[in-house]
Amino acid sequence: MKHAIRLYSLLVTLYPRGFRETFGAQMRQTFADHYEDVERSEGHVGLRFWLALAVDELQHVGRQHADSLTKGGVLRKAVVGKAVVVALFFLPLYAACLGLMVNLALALPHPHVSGIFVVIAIASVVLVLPGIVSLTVSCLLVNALASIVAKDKSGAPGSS
Amino acid sequence: MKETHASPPLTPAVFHILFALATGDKHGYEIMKTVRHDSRGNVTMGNGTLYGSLKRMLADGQIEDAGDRANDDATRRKYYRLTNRGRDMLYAEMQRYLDTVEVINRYGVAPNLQTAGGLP
Repeated sequence: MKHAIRLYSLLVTLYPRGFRETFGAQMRQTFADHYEDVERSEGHVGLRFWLALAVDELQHVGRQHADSLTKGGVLRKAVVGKAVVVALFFLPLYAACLGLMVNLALALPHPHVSGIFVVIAIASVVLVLPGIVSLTVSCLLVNALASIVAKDKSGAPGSS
Repeated sequence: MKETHASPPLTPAVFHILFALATGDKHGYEIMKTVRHDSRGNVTMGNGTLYGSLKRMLADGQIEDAGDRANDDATRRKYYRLTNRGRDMLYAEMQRYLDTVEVINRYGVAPNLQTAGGLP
């Protein structure tokens, strides 16, 4: 019985901290009651008991972590907010890089190209390359800004 | 499809927990046992399902903490109680079931479950 409770306690530690603090002790007590009941009525606690328990617990561990991450829409709001700021940086950067790439492509001497696939390949490089560069730079800028804002907030008076 | 009942339909787990608490305050394992008994063993609830549902139901105001109590074995356990909101939601769900049974009876399409071995 003691070993079973110890094993179950390990499973409970997989839950998010807030959930564990509220329900952990109750879950252990309910498990102990259930285990004792099965042992008394069936004489032993078999593999079926442990399998059903593991499946149920693991399903809900995942669900509780997802709940705690999206609690109050905090994660969703943060992601949407960051995406908007990235877009604000990205669009002008992309326009500038694209203009530069097109000018460069036209100005540099280039061999005669023929065939629709070659044209599409060159156009893709001209369109995609500035996109990748702009997106990377935008993300780096937003992350740098976010860390500066976070530092300011943690250093602000009254913050703990 | 337009729903005319006051509250949205309940999940089976929530319905059975509310139903178990309708007859009095209960602790975790008592709820589990009552659900298994009331559903004739068709609904078995693990700890994860039970406490995940209790968490949502507490947050939604369907149930409330009824305090810790010691049983015969002197172990203290947390009890849960149905709130008025929870009772209203349970009654709305029961009304849905009764409406469905009424429609089944009106059309006379109910199978003979007793002789078919569907019910004990």
